Amino acid sequence: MPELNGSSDDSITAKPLTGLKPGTIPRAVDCEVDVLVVGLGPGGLIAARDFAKQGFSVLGIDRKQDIGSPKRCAEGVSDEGLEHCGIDPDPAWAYGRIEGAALYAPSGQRVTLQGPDTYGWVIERKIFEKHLARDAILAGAKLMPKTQCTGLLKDKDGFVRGVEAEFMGKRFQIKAKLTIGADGIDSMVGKWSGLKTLNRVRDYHSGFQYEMVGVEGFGEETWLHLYFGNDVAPKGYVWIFPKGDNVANVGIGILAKHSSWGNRAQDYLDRWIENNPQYFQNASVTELNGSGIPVSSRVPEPVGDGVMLVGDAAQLVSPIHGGGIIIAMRAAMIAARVGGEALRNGTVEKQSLMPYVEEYWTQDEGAVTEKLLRLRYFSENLSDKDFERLASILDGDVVLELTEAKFPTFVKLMLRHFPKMAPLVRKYMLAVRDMEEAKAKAEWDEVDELLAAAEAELEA
Amino acid sequence: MAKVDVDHGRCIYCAGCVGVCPVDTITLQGDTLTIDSDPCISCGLCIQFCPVGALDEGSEYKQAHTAKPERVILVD
Repeated sequence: MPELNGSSDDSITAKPLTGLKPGTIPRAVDCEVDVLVVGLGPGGLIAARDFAKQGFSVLGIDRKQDIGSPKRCAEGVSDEGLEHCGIDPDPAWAYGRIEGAALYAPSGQRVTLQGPDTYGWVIERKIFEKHLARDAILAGAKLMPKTQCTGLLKDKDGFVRGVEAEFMGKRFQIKAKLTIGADGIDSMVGKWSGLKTLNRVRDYHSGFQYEMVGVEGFGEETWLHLYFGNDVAPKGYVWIFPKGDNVANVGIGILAKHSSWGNRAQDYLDRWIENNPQYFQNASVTELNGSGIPVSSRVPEPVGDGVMLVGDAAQLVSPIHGGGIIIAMRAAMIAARVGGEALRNGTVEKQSLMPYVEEYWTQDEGAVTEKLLRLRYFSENLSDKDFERLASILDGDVVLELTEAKFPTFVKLMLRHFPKMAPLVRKYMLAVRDMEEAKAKAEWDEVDELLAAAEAELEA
Repeated sequence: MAKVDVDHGRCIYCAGCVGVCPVDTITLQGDTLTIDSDPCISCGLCIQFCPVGALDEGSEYKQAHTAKPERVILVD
């Protein structure tokens, strides 16, 4: 494991990046900055933007030579999320307008979601990230594509002090007061820092997708379409996300635990496409991508002395739909605020970075994530028959509540119609009650009564 | 001899296997995925994860999983 000694100042040629003239081309020269961002996806770019906005010298590196490519997701973002992150939708990348969603049980029976809470865009992520990169650069950050992180710099106190990197075959050192690991599912910054970033197959989706032209007949072109079923996508789903102009992002995520020879994510998706010629007979593929999706939704402590993780590196992904663009950016904004405060106070020890973790988990997306994780475990135990049953009783409003981690309405409805669900409710959903505020707890009292009745009925 | 065979023709460089490797033995640099057999513990998680089936058990992997216990002591 490359763990380099970067503590000695005379071991590198100190050359603060802020001293370089604007427009400087990337060069493999030793340098020193306030903040180093490793990985320039949505999370890393927002971190670079927000640290630069505070006046820090920021360098961002990415191993890819083209920021934004290859993409690794279904490219859906919500209006609310974009607004929160201070990003105006731009026709250059906001392609497919979304005003609803349809969830399909294996028989084709569907539940539809509509209304402002579903509004959003299917984006062209490559261009989206180029725009985020532009924002970061205009805020004062410098970026270096095609720059691979090859090792971690640590000082004698164990503080992360930047990385060793390689650009165009030449190695150099980037010293930084604070290092942001935004380097994705395979985060080396996380691993080398000793943070517990390993993904487990029971909490990891195997994803595969095609961008296709000519997909038709699948229904509303301003809706997201999600297809469930254990033969369709075990413990996951197939999606069609329309991007407008006859283009669609068609993909799949399956729980990696259920992937096997001949039954890979790609195999499942290919079979589903072949089984649905009505959508695909005139279609063809312009792009294919794959990915791991960390649906565990948390690295226990994504911070250490001198280092913070954001995005997939910190496993910040919705455990229920697997989306991570907005979540990564939201977390990066908090990280930049907390990290900036720590830098101004002159200490980047782990304790001074912890407010990032606390804020995310109590006030931001994290606040609903723990509950959604329970919903994920619950849904992973549903049979195809259960999906059909649920599709017959759920309406869009209840599903929207579910996505916001408000469960009592759903649980009560389910127990009234299908007492057989009682054991699953008890096993996976009841723990959510203890995570609720007092007001929501009262709603769970009704669940208790229904659950007891359902269990009595089952016993009889 | 390798524990995990990489079909470079199939690999789509998604790096998902790197994310499940418990011993940090897989690296993706540019368009090249390499798996160092030395630290590899033949756990098979990368093979299981791969969305396109680009990874498979190598000869050394199979050996590790079919090897008989070194000492089998028969008693009455």
